[in-house]
Amino acid sequence: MISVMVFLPAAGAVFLLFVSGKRTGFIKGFSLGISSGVFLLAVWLFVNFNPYYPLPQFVERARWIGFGLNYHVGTDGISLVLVALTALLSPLALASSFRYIKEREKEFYIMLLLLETGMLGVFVAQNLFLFYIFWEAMLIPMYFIIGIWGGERKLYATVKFVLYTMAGSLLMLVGIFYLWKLSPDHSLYFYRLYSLEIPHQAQILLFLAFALAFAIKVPLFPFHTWLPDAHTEAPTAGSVLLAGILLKMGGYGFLRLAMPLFPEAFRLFLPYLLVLSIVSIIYGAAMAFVQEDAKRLIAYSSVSHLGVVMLGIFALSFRAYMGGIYQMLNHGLSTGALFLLIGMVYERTHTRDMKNLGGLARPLPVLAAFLMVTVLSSVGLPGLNGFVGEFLVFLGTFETNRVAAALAALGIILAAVYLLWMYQRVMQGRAREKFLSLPDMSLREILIMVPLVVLFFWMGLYPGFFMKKFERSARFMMEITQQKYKIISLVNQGGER
Amino acid sequence: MGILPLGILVFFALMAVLLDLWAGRWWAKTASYAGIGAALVGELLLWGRRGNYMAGLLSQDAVGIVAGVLILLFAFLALLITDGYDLKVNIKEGEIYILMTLSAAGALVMVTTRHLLVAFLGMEILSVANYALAGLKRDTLSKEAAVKYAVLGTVASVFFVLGMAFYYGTGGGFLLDTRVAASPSPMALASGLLLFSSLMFKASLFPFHFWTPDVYQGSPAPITAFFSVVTKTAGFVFLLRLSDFVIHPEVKWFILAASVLSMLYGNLVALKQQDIKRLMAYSSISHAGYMAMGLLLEKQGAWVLLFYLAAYGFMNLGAFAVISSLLEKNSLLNYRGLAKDYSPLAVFLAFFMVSLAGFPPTAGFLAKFFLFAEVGRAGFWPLVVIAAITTLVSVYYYLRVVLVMYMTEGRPTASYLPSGILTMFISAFFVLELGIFPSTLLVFLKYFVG
Repeated sequence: MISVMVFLPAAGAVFLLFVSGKRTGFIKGFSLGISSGVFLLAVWLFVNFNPYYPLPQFVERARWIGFGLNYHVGTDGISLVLVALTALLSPLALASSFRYIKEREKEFYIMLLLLETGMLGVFVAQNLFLFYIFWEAMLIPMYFIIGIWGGERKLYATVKFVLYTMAGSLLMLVGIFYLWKLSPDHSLYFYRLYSLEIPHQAQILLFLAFALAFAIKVPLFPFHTWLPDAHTEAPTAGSVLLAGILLKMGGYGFLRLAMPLFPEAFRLFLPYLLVLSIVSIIYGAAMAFVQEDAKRLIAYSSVSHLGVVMLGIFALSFRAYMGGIYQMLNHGLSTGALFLLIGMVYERTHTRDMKNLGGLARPLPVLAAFLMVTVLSSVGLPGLNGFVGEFLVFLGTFETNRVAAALAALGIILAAVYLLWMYQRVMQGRAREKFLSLPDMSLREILIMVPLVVLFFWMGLYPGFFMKKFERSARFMMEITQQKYKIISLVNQGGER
Repeated sequence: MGILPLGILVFFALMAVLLDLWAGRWWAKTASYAGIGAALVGELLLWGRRGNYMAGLLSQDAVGIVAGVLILLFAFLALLITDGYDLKVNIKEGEIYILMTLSAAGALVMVTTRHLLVAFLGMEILSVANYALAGLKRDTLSKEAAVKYAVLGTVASVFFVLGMAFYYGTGGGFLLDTRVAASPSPMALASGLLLFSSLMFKASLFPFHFWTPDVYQGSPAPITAFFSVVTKTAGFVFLLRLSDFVIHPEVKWFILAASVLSMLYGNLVALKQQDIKRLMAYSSISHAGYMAMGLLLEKQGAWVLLFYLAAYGFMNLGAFAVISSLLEKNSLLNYRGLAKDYSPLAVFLAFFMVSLAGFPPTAGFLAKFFLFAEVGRAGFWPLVVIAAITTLVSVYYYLRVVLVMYMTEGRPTASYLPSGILTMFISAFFVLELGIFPSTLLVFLKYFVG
């Protein structure tokens, strides 16, 4: 089932190769259909997932290359919610592009579908080899999406994006070779690797290699410089998926690989990682303050919010850990929604410069309302999703490290200011003449936003429904990180090889 | 039996010479296709056999057979790229096919022998045919390429002869065997260095790479493809045999240095190239650097190196099939906007570039994966880190080609050559096949070679 879900978009992309590029209506409908089908499969997985079992479920394995390099997918609770997020955001991003993308439409939808396969694959891969393959393969569609359909400085942005990501992941690849050599059955299966005894010296080097790859992806300060360019230049769908999914892979990589594989080294570098998270929170917020470009502002707000996520994951308290994972989902939904809405504004006004915007609430009342809800969700208003995640992160961090919690909370106050200020500069004030006749949101656009807004409230008011799904897995991963020995016996009980 | 493919190939090549004289170029071309095709079938029939023939002058083993199959397959694809291209750029002689067949025969000799004299003969057959092939375009660049290749190639041959003499002097005769490998004398060292240097010329490894950019740029594009895969395969397979026997600890350092410098030099200089054939030349130097790491391994080296050669051959041939379709308009400026006007060509070239850069799920990724992993397993971790970093550098220039085709505007001109398109399909098939189901080849490699 998982394999079908992962490779369905790729199969659709291959099919689209042979469809004439002129039949745009069919291409859009077809790719949206494929993407929605993936979403239904993800819902099926979500519903049928057994939340009381911490290890990967729906496991599918096949002999592949030999040398222990096999095909192995499955999903535990953490992967499950991230898969669900991917499967939800992909069709929305796709649908948001129907009017935005006007040239080479066929190629665009092919690239989006390939990207979806790559993103899902990263989250369901159960061995390091497969993980790396999806991790790398995903870069190529994103390279095209930013490079062909991006804004003015798209070439610079896309090359920077690929080179930064590759720089991290190639060193990680060297680390993978080392683990491959070290592991007794050469399987690179995650839960096998967790029980490896890795020499201390090697752990440090390996942790640095893995952490660099993931820190660039998150991105943690000072590895974030690719992000504002990539986000700003990418087309709306690209920004949504970059912020919504790709950044999560950094956090996912940390909690799935870098931390549990090399716990001693992680402990050693923990203070620096905490500092980097806090610097990311404050620096991202400070940079967001001074942006004139609305998209760039959201990009920097992502740096800040991802800092909160990483703080939660690094804090070594179970509450914060849960909050960090929950906050990954929240950030994916809220920031995705922000990029969608700013994209809609841009489609109408052809500018994102906030100096030239203003007063849009009058011609676009529905859009303004959606933007308000989204901004409030993003700043963490109680009752909406952002609050739950941030609250847990700060509560948990406060237990283990009060200074860190206090400093990070500062960043959150700033977030409320710059995001609300953005809303004010875009929507309020005197409306310009030329903007007065703009059409408000179409039915398609409203339908894109409704599921997100429903989720803002659902996840804010009834978080248990979602947390229950990944609580066991999160506790399990956390325990692996903290005390390795407990786990070996559990894995063997689970009957995994 | 063992010399059957070689016999077939030489017979058809000589037939092609006569047919070209009496019946015209179409017959020469057909005879070349038939010769390489029949030799390929013969080589496949030998699959799994081993033995010595002609009093030990020729010897067949697993490495030789796999390499022979690759060489013949690559040569066949190179013929396909040439077909149709030649008339478009005014190469009317049938010799282009005959020379390629002869050159392939030389390469086949090189991989089916352990006898130094016979290997030298093979190398000369290959080289002399190559010198002529380089000059076939007949413009200034092409002539320069031919002369440069011939002069420097002769120096390399001299190295080989001298190395052979020293090898004989150490008391080993002309057959590669273990006795000499064990001898620590300076003469054994000298012979090792000289023989390696000579082969490194064919494989375009660092201090002996100087001919590569000019020859690649000047020669007709399909011939460049032929040089970059057939000559390289023959060179590396013989290097592999040498490193089994003549490996002296000092020689190992020599290879290591050449490998590192090739990776660094090839990748860094490629960054600035504006001509796609020069870019491919530097890419070829850098890939030679990666492959040279395989020579440092013990017995493990054979299968990773052969897998790399297979992957590299298909992706390079595919890329050159596209480059040939632009009919010698080789500046990157001519690739601007290729994706709009010639979408299929751009898709193929982008695919092969992505593979050369080593992205999954293509053969280029797995080739690098296996090679780097084995080199790491042998303990050369700093080497693997250098290789990984230079791979990052290479991503930039390979993707720059994609960027030029897809993300800039221009009015390119190209022509769809039917057999060129066929080559692209075949190469793309193998690049994907080796990238997703490598076990098809690996099973044989592991069973026979490793």
